Amino acid sequence: MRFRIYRYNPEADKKPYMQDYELHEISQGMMLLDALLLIKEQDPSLGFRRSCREGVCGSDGMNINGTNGLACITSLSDLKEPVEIRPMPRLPVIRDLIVDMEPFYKQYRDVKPYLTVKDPLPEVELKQTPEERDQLDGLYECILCGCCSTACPSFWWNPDKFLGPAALLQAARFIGDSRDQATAERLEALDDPFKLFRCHTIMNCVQVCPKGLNPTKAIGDIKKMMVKKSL
Amino acid sequence: MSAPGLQGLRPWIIQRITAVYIAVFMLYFTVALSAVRPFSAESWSEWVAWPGNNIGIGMFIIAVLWHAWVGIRDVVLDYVPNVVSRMLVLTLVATVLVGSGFWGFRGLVLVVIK
Repeated sequence: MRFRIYRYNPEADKKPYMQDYELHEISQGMMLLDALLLIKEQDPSLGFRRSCREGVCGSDGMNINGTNGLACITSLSDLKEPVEIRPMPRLPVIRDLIVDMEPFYKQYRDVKPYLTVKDPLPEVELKQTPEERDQLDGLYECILCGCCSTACPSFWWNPDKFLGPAALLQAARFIGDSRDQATAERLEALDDPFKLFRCHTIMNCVQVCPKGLNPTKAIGDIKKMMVKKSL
Repeated sequence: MSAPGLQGLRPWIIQRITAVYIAVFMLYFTVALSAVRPFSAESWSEWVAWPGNNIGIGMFIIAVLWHAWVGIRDVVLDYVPNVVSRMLVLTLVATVLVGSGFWGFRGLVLVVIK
């Protein structure tokens, strides 16, 4: 099986280039990460992140044949040859397929992804009814792999101002949490021409999310809540 | 705020409200196209001069211009990152849209006072 992989070492290379590799020991059921590990045996200089190898940690997000995804849950049998692998778009490349996730994490931190409770904390845990807990389904499962935000053209054009689908999904997760007491402040913070309203509902984020989440719907729900609050 | 003077929710609501008005008025206008007879400049002048239609067209002009402003503003915010260039482009767009509005309203007034 043939692979074309983006290579760039800022300390040694003047500019990025694509390097071809070929693997002969492909077996049924192999994932792209397995292939990358075999390629790394051929060429130990190839850099990429990975950890859990089962789609939970979100470390191995990359652009695979033009679409973002996790290498560990992308089956080789689904890929056209040569498999072209690039780093996730619009984030600074540290080396090869390793990107600097800091701009992505900054947007995540900006939405204050934690419960804000103004009342004195109870002796026991903050309780929810099962119905209130159900409101968080589809929001809390995000693994912060960055596939969605780096597939979003609005994030490409304004990565420092538009929060991106991943951070906005988290914003929706805490706005929708019955225990959070900062809903008004959270909605007010998002009422800005860039942070939320650069989303034009093209749904690239939904297409690439490896966990099957729907950030576009979450963004739409935030807009609805903003309208309700403003009435 | 990352863009002084520009808002988020308000233009988004305005874009949707104006879209609804534009759609409804276009439907009304399409019906009028087939209903106004004879199909002549005089009968159309009368149609436009009737106060209900005149006000409706005036509101349509405002809705189209406002809708266009939000749409073009969105494109500019997406693709013109430099603040000075962005403000220049937005000023130019606003000038053209306001000028078009005056031109449209002048036509409405002329039809009424002729």
